[in-house]
Amino acid sequence: MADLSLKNVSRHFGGFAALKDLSLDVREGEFVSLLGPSGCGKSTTLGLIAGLDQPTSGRIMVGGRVVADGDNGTFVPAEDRELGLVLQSYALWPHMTVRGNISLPLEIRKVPKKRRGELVEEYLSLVEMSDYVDRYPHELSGGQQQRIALARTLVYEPVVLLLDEPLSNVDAKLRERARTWLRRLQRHFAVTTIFVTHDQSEALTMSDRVAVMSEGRLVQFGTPEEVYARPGDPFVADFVGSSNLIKGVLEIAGGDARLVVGDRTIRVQKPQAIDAGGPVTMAVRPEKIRVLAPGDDRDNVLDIEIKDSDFLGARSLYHADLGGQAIRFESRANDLRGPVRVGFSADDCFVFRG
Amino acid sequence: MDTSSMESVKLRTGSSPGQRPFWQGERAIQWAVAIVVCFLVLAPVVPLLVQAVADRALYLDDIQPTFGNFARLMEDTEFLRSVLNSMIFAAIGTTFSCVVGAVAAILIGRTDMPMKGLVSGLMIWPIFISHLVITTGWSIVYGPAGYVTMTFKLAFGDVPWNLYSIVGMSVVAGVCQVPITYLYCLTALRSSDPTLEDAARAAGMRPLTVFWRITVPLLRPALIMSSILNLVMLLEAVSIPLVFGRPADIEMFMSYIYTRAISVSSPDYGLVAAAACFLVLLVVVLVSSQRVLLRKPERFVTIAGKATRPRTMRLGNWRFVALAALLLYLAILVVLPLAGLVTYAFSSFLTPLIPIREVLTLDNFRLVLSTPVYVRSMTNSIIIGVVGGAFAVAIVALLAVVVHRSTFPFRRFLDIISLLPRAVPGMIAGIGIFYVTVIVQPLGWLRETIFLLMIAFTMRYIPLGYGAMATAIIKIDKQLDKSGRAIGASWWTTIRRIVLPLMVPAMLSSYAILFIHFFKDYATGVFLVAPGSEVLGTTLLQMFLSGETGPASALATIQLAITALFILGMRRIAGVSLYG
Repeated sequence: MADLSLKNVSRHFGGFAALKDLSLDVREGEFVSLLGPSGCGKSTTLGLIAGLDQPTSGRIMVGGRVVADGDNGTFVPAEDRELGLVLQSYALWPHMTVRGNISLPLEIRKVPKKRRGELVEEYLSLVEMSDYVDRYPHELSGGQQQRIALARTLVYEPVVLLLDEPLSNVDAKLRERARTWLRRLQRHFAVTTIFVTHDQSEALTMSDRVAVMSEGRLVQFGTPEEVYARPGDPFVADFVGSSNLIKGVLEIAGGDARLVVGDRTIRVQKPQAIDAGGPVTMAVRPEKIRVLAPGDDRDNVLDIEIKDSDFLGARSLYHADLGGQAIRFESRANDLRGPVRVGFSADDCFVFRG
Repeated sequence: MDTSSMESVKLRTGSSPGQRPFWQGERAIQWAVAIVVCFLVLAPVVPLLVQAVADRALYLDDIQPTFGNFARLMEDTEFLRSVLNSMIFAAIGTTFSCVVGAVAAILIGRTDMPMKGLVSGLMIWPIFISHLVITTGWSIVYGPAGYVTMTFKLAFGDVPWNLYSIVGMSVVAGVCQVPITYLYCLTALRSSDPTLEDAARAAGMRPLTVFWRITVPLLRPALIMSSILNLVMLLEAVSIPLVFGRPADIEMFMSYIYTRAISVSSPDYGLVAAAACFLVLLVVVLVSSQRVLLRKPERFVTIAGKATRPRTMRLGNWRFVALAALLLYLAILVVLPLAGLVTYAFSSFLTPLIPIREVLTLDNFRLVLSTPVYVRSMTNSIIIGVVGGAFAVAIVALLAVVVHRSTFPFRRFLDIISLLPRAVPGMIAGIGIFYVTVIVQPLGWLRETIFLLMIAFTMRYIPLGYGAMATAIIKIDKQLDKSGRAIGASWWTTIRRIVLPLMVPAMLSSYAILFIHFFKDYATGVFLVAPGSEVLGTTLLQMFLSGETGPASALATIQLAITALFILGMRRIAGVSLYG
């Protein structure tokens, strides 16, 4: 097991910067997700860590060893990094059986034949696939292939496990079980794991820490709770969970901060290092806005008109208008319509510059 | 849904979609396509089968069934020897093209070798040129009296090669077939999922291990398919056995048939047909063995999770070695023979003893252009390529549509039967088609016209054109025509307005490929040409065999020039991609 460190890593493809100045420290045995929309640079980062690609600049260290340094040209190729990589397609070698797939990494590590057989058995039972040892990859379902791909990777005890959207080819229903299973497996081996995903619920449920990326940059790095409760910018606020983003002007009077939207004012959490009078964006999550019963009171109380609603099952999502800007809120009541009174606390309103 | 607009459509068209009795028209078109294809595919085979078990030529009266032809064939030691020779020849040639083609494909498809574009272009050149022309080029340069042979002899006293041997002929044949292996392997490499190799690297394998354990095994289907195709094409080879084999007294399959069918005054049709049936059977066995060998294609095919850039293997300084090796191969085995042929065309006599400058002349071209039969061969070939090619494209496009996009009950059967011509060598197909015009009296007028050759070539190359079409039509999303049907268009309208327009690029490249094959074919026409309907390939074969090498080289040079112009034109003007 090893820790992992990226320092000012950039990757340019011609004039296009796929990754800009990324620094990230991952502790030994930690499960870290790289979360972001497609094109944010998370897969590029994974490729750089794996050694399938070389950084334009910056340094990557695994277990204290420099494996790539774009500044002096140091580059340890993938096969010498002792990492485990599970790709989205699983990349099981189609011309080999399950046994062949799992024992090949051992074979090239000169593990004796008898021991190879034992290890194949052991790891197959670990991923609960013992009955499939003589199958070919095309005879397995997506979820089964994923298990074999993991077994094939874990069997040679890599120092860091790299997972590139490994759950995206698994049926939606099985995915939740696969998450729990994968997390348990990772804890069992206590292997440092980098998990690339665009699915925020995957990232939140599985990770020790989440690295949110956007347009080639790391925008926030913290525990799932931190990232959800204290988003660092409007992008994170909206991408992790979901947020209403309301534009307005910041006013600070005494200890209180307010957002002015048209003729309304909203009390917000007092931001640090943002001056009053400038344009700002406020983020508030739809689930934090409540429909108020008569007599209820909150920091912010708004009378708004429901324009549309989405039935989500246990709850409904309502669309309304706030000074010309769209605002959404959730409620367990499924039949609201017309004018309603809603309220939310100032602590749930984060303000960002711009 | 706004019902008033629906009504207005009805008012304007006078009918609502879905009420028209479309299916009769649909089935009629499908049956027509099926009948034409079946006729084309079966016409050359059925008469041959009948002739093989008939005691005299089919055009004679009072025919009795017999197995005598086969009995005589099996007792003929010359036949058995020719079969053996052909098999050895095909095996060596295939091995050669397998190794060279696969190595070139890997170097070009997966490494950082420089000048890949140029090398790749040169690698596929032989596919555009008839074997006859390449073979003759080889004999001009490397034959016993060839330019390079003589030069070498003058310098060193003897040469270490002999074209007039089985190995010599096999190498020439191998060179001709290299592009097939190369293209199959390159396509396989390009479509294979590069993450399979990434995963292997990450699992700790060195590039060379990845290469042997992952890349090469995944090439197996491409190697098997191209090898079987090469074996078949070499068993059917006509030019090499005739140009090299006959003078060296090494009889092969096709020269055996040629000798007994063409160059004698009273051909033994029964024996020829029996021999032809034997070869067809051999080819059918080979082609079906491919199905057995590749019975689990899923073990080799994978679909990439998302688009990834194929990674190239870094060769370091070895990349220059690789480039040099490929360029040397191309220069010595492909470019030089062709250059020799062209030089021969422009000279009166080619030997290292006399400086080329002194023998340069345009006499060969003057002779060719002033001899009506040569000029006619050329114009006939162009007309057959242009018109016949278009006719063939129309047939294979409709065939692809009926097989892949219709509910026609016999579409699976059509799909399989359309591959049959691949099993029938061109010259033998020519004999079969000739029989049809003899037996079916109303078709008699076709003889001595170029229509007969168009039909023969179309039949011969249906598998080639259909293969390209089928690949293209499979890639067109079926939901596109489903939505065509959903808006109320009939099957034929959907095909005409949606499917066929999407197939235009495939049709253009099919057309180009078919034109080139029609233009270079020299074997199919052997039995079919008559005064007035000569074609370039057949005329060239006669000229080379009767020793008119000078004028023949000139005519071949013109053929090469027209082919080159055609390919350039298709690429530049129509943007057609020919073999990648």
